[in-house]
Amino acid sequence: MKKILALTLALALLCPTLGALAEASIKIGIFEPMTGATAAGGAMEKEGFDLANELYPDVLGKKIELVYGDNKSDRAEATLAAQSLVDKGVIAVLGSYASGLSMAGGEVFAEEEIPALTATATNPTVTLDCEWYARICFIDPFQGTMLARYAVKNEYKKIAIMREKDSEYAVGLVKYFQDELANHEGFEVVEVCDFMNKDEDFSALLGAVLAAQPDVIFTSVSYADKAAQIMRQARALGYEGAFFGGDTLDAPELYSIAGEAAKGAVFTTFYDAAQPATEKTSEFLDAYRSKYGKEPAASVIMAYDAYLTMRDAIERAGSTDNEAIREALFATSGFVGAAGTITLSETHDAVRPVVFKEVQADGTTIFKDMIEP
Amino acid sequence: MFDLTRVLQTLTDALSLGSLYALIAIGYTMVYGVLRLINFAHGEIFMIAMYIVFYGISLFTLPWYVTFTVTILVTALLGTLAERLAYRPLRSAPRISILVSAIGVSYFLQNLATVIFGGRPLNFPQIPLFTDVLTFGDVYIHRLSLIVPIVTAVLLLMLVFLIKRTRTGMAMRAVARDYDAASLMGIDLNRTIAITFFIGSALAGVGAIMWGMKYTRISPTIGAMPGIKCFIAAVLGGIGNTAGAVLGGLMIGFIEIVIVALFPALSGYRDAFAFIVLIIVLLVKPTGLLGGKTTEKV
Amino acid sequence: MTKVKKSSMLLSCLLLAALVGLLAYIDGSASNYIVRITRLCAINIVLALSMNLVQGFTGIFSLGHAGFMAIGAYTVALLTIPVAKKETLFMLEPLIAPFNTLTLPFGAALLIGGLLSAALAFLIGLPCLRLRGDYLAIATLGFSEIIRIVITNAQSLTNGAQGLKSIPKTANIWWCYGIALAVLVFISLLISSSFGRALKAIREDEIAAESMGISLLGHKMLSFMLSAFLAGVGGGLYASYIGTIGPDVFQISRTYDILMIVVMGGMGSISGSVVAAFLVTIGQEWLRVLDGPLPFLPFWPENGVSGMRMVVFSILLLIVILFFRNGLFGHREITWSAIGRRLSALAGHRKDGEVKAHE
Repeated sequence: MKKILALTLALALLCPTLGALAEASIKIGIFEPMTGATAAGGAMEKEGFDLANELYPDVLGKKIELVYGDNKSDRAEATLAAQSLVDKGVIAVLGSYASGLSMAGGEVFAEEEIPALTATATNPTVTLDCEWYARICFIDPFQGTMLARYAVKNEYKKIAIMREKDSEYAVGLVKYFQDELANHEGFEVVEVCDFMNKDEDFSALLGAVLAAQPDVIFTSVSYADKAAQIMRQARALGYEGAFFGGDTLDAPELYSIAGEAAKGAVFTTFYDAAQPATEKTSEFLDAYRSKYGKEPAASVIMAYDAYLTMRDAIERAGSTDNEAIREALFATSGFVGAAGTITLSETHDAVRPVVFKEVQADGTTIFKDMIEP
Repeated sequence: MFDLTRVLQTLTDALSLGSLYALIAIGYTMVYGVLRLINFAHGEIFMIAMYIVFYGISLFTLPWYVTFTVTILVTALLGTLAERLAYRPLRSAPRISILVSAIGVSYFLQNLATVIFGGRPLNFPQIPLFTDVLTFGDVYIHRLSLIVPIVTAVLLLMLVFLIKRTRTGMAMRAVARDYDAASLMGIDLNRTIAITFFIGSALAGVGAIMWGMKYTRISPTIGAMPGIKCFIAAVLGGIGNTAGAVLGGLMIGFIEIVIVALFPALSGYRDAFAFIVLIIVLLVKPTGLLGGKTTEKV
Repeated sequence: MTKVKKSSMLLSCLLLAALVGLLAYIDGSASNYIVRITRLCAINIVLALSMNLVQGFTGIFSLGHAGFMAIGAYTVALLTIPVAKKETLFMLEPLIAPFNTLTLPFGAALLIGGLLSAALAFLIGLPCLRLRGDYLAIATLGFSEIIRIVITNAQSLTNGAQGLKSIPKTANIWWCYGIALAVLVFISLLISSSFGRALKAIREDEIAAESMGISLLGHKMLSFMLSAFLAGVGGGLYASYIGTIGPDVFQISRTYDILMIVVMGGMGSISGSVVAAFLVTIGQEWLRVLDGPLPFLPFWPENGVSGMRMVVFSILLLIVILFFRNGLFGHREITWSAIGRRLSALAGHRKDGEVKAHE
């Protein structure tokens, strides 16, 4: 019995060796967290990549094949996932959601010299010292600064911060926010409370926050669901002030989990559907709505744009040579995507305006403000 | 800053969180009592229960009382099934094997949930009867904050009655005291252990419903944190002792809430509090607050 | 007897040569993906052996491995990242002295990581090793989590949640297998020494061992510290292998992963840990195919099912645990004489070809 079992096990391990796929396609790796703590972000970006692949399926006269690598929301796993993508012969990589995972993947992509492009990882460290990573989103120092200016503009004198301590994104954003706020007389951070991603009960933290009687609560979180829980629990404790947060709040979970409590919350994002940025916006929106039957989150359209940007770079490179693609990618300038025009700086980060949106009572969001860099 | 309102608010928050921990800790302690097993899958059973509620109410639009009953039953059966398939065959194996088996079940349920339900967080259905917020002056109390302690207390009393006054309870105590002797005395081990898992998992189901309504979010990894905290609570109170689990749960709830309320600057270390208190208690009383003498089986 | 020993020695040398040849081949010709997995196998061997020392041979139920790994990993990272990179890396708060200007060679950093980890194990062991069984497990697990929480909060030392990157990838296949082999030999010698026999006596019966004059706390402490040292070294290798670390890398689940390897191989079996380290590491990667499209299965979604591989992996794990309740090897070891007996049994067509227990 044991022997048969051992044999079956060995076979089970051996059998999934797949035959070589057709060589006629160009492979682009999708490096995303499909499982684990940030799986929601990965799922959103996957929608964008898939949709873009449907609408623009080829480059250089060849079919683009998307190869998925699940990094399990885990830095250690991410390097293996990245390496497995390289092994499958991808010529370029898109992703990942969450900066820490992109950093881990970047170690491999730099070593293997594979150009990589992230749609939404905003932490500056991702492209820093990594000559093969680029991004089409803005970076946190810019976003944090803009959030601080937003607070100043709205006369929020007393600001309380809820910070997700184990998220590199959330911690960085708060730091840049505080740095900028220090430049403005009369504005102060009255309380900074930390929590971990696993935490669910914020009552004690909110007790301390509310005791400081803030005008606004800044929720710096790795994903919208945590902000939603904070909002809901704060309202249940009688808080009536405002909320705002960074681009991670732009996800459907904000309203679906917070419900009414999210009303009036303001967050930064990359684009606004009501103000079509380019001719490609409506094409994207129509295709998305008809395919998924809902409104897209910002991460979806950013992923869509990342795909188009990479495709454009390959087109301009004229070959599948990694050096040529990287050069073309880093030289991206004035490329018209669905969420706006993309120009990469010399640090291969995108320079783009930050959009502020506000959640309405019915869960929709409206355009509130836009600040050009 | 600490006026009466704030003190009252903090205490109710602590009581409500503590009784939630207590509810889930009972399941750990019961299973440990009969099997000497840290049931790592307990948190995942808790997580599955939340998804059942979500699908019951949001998808099949069942009334809440039907959904809750179904959830508790299914959860209880799931726990019993896990025992039957993954723990029972290992009862005579080294204890570490059964522990790794529990970790395996936990991984399996968590990954299965990711595949079936997707990794995106869902909202837990809100039932106004339970989730309304009441105000007493400036103190805001979630109706659940009152319901949870009562539910925990009632369930604890029922459980104590079951354990002390019924034949099944006597069998449980016998199995917990001495496994082999109990089976020699004609106690049906399989049945007793199955019942223990059934009740323990049902309590996880109740805990999940309360937790979900209070914290409104569901995800495949949500069982991990309550799982570890409530396990600490069970050990703190003296694992194997039902009243101890409740005491431990309440203590962890109070410690977390009160320390953070007093020293918000320490909030980043919050998850360490429970462990630090546990380690201190274990050093003073190696079997937990209400734990009896060690019955290390030779 | 000496003849047998001699031939065993010879065979071992041949095996070693074959291994070196194979590694050189992999290093030179295989894809970087294969090389990476091969390296991970060696690191997992180090980690599994270090855990087996406390769990399998001493009977201390410690679940603090991830914490000790973290100490080693952060030490190696902080001591090997080039100074210029450190400056840009610590964007939020500058790195404190002396790490901001200090870099050491990889080997030295690895050693220091291990020593720090062992020193911490001493401090943790003082209170914890007095506890028994599951209480010890939960206390060590607690310390492991506390270490992780402190790392998350100590911004100016560890860069907090930002993590560290640009760790030099010195841990190539030779470093990994050199250390794995050294640990393997060390543990084998240790186990057959009088100290090792004392550990086993403690595992079998503490009271009996104590009455034989074995100092319980002393032996347990030394075993615990040695294990932490090796875990620290393993963690250091791991950091250099990934190239980037953060507090999230050292969650409790990392401890469980190693525990899985140890139990799957057999508590108290060195060969078991080695074989299981290979099986689990390679198996997990092989199963990656399940996440993608499977064209030969008509009902499989076109883009694959993400997460399926972990579902299948956990089922396989459960099957192994349920059917090999003492792990694949139990307490047994692969030795040349056992293989020889096996072969002669096969040659003699005897039905009873069981490998005799051999420790």
